[in-house]
Amino acid sequence: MLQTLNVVLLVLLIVTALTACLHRNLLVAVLMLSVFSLVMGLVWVMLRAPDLALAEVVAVGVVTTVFFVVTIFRTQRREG
Amino acid sequence: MWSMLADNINYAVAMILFCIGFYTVIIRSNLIKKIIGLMIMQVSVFFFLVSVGYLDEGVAPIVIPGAAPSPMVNPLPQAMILTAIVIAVSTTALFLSLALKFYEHHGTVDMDRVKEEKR
Amino acid sequence: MKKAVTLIFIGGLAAALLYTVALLPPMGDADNPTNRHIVPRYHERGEEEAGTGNLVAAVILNYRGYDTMVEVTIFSAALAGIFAVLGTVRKRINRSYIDRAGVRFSFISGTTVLLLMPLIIVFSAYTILYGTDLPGGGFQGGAAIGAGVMISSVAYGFHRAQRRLSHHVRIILESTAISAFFVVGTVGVIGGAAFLTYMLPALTPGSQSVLRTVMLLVLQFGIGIKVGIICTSILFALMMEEDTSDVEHAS
Repeated sequence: MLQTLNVVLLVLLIVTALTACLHRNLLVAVLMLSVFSLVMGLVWVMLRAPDLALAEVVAVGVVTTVFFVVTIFRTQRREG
Repeated sequence: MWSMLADNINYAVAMILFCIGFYTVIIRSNLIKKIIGLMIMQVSVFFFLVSVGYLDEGVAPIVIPGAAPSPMVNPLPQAMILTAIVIAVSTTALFLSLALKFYEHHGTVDMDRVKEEKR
Repeated sequence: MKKAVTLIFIGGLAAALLYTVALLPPMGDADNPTNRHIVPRYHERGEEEAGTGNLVAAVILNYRGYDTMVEVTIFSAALAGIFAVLGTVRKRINRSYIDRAGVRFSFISGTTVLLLMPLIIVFSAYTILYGTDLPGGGFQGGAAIGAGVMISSVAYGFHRAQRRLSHHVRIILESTAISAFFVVGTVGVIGGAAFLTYMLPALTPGSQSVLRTVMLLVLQFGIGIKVGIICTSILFALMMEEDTSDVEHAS
């Protein structure tokens, strides 16, 4: 049961990372990065690391995403 | 060999994520995409290092007074990766400010267009 | 052309990495070499040597205290780099893009932030205070309070946020962690022990453990406040724009 959950989370990780890297709209890519960090938080809990889960969700999922969104707001929204 | 890889599936996914991030940094010409790829590379390395320290049937490394003694996972990589997460956030913030300055100077964040205009 | 060459290179790299990773010892095994050397000592004597229940906090603050001090310095150095690139504000309050845009104050985001901010503050204070016995610690609580201040400044206006947290206030608060490290470390040196050992050998063991708990709390709070203030400063620096001479705030 836990093995299946682990495999599902890892597949979600790869799908989210691929979408973040291949999509043309930059805001969608940054939102996918935030979802990536949330799924990563769940993976940290599966690896018995609650400190890292808290740190990852708050530091990468909130703070870095806000920085990205402010930078995209001031530069351009689509790639290319 | 496939069964050995299926045992270490965490390591395999960490390597695949690293290669995805690396590909993004090389191929995409937009600076923001490159920063996203760098972030994915960093997180994949953290994932690899912490899952090396995992123990089957282990519990989180917190000593609770009065609990039955059970084997705990390795706390050392977790402490190092906590520092590394802070460093990842700070380098991403610095890189983003450089990209903002680049946009103010050149008018675009796309490296291909800047290279064409220089010719 | 570039894409094909890169794909071949990445494919070769992935194959080599996957082959190497398959040859590592199986994950989670109890006789892995990583679980046998110094880790049993951390499990057995970590709590009494470091005085915390959270072994990760014991490693960060006690066994590897110097690493945490340097990490705090790296965070400050990143802020210094960002100020060097983007520029600081010295005297007047700067305008920002968001304040001059024609977007009205949104009730939904404003009310949500208003209702969430007390909970965020309580949660981050709880995380910092119980960082030595429960999961959490200085960095997590500090980043949470920084995130709270960031979203409230985005919802209520950069102008108002910068009036409350002006540059001078932020400069003083940014140096709390490194000052806390300096004070805590030097107390040990004055008492006769080494730098950054949390004890004065002249006291009785009972009050020594009390002093150690107080010092750990001071350190956690210092790290937490510093991280929150630096995140806010980075956001203000990113949102600020160059002061073009006489633009009046059109409200």
